[in-house]
Amino acid sequence: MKTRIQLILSFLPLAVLLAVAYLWPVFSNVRASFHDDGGTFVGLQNYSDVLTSYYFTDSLLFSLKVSVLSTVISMVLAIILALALRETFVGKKLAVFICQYNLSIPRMAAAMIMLFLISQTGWLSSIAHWLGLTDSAAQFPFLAYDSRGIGLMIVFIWKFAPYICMSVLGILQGASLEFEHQAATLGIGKVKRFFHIILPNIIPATAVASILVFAASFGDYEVPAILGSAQSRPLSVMVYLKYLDPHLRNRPEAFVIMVLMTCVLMAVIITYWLLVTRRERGRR
Amino acid sequence: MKRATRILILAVAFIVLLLPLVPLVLWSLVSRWRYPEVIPDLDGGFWLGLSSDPRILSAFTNSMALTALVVLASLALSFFAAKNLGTRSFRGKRIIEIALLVPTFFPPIAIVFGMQRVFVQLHLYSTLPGLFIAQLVFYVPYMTLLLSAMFENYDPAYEQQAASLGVGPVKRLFTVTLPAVRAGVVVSCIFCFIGSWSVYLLTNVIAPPAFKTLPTLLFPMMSVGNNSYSMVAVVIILYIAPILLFLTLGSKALVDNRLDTKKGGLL
Repeated sequence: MKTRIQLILSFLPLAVLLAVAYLWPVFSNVRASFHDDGGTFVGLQNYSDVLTSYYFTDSLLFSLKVSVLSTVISMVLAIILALALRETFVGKKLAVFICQYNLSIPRMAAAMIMLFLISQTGWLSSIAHWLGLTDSAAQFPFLAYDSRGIGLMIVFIWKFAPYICMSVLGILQGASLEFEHQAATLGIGKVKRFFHIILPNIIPATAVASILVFAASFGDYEVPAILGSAQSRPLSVMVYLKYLDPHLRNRPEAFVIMVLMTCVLMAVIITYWLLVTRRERGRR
Repeated sequence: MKRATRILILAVAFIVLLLPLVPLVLWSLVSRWRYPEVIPDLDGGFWLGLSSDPRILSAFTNSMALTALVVLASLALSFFAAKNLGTRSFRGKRIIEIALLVPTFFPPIAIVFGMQRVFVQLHLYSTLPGLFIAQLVFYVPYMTLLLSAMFENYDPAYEQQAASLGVGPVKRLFTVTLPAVRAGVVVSCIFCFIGSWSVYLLTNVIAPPAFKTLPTLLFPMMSVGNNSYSMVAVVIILYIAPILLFLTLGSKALVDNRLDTKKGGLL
């Protein structure tokens, strides 16, 4: 009985914090999404306004495009990098450190640093001019503030590929290596070894890390706020603009987008949790 | 993999990963840099004017104080929860695990305006205690996740031995439990520090407008049309330097811990 009380007491601060400052705001968002700006209940009116608006589909597709492409490209690069890092070599510790130092750089700083590098008057553009590849800043490809989201994807991939790489590296240095040596002794070729041994071994870890990367890039506000274009805005930026719009009538739309984003992300988090627990059960 | 292939891949990766730091450092050292100069004339840039701008120093100390408080409070509020989560099994454990994942991995944009409305009702909006509580909402669960993963490798038998020898609970905590988990606690605090230190949106929405942290000072500086980025570059360096310092100090421990994705690492 005493331990039971201790158990409940230990979770009490967490429960109070989450209930008051997390669950309540979520319910408050959901409630606000069914009311107009004066507080009158309007049912699904706000939802149909948003879903039929000129911006929502474009914004949703843009968010999905940027986050899916960033995740997939990061995943591929991460696996290649992890394969290069896994064997022992001189200077490996330093190499691993370089490959993960930027994980911890805040996204806002990453976006700004990237702007110095890739904007049309940035450092790469100056180098291109010096090499004689371009005559003027305008000839350098439009990467920052572009409407296709290339600048956003560059930042996300730069930051997230090392993250997935570190998860994959953990697996590749462990069990996978043993199986591969056995297969090699049995005369199984490189390509076949990759598809039949390496890939099945790293898929679970890659999937778990990639889901988090997807959630992070789908909901990120700071990177598109700094590097994004006014022509194509992801949902996160739409929420901010609609909420702070001086026309208060637009505010309920912000709540609708928040609720819809919450639903997408909730599905993502539950998938993540299912994958992790299944992997753990597999380990036992 | 062949040695040549490996060197090629790593060389490309290092260049891509480190290249953005070059213009950052250059910008901090020059007051004027016009396209198409590849290497501008270094004149010390905004570093020389840093001491004459009190906003930056005060934002730095504000950030440090807030983050230190958040990390310590998160550690205190999550320690026993994490210990129970890592060392015991009980009904409802899975639910708690999901509840911890949500604030940790959910982007703040989906929640922050709801928090603002609730904090207005609680008279916490635009106050420093409000900001502190708002950060705890994200970092207590995060710290619990990190510490619970560490406690999964912890053996509570030593505590039981100490208890049977008549050592009281407070003394047990400080002489048995804490020394045994010190390394994990330090790593978790470093992760938590990095997370809290980076927060922009939450501080921007909940904090009193006069209270600036480094990220809320930095964000509006990067407007289009700004033609000297020297100050921006200096503030970015001040923003990322403590993170890189902590990361280097704890690098060995971090390498060992980062590999477990269940903890989420740093995103």
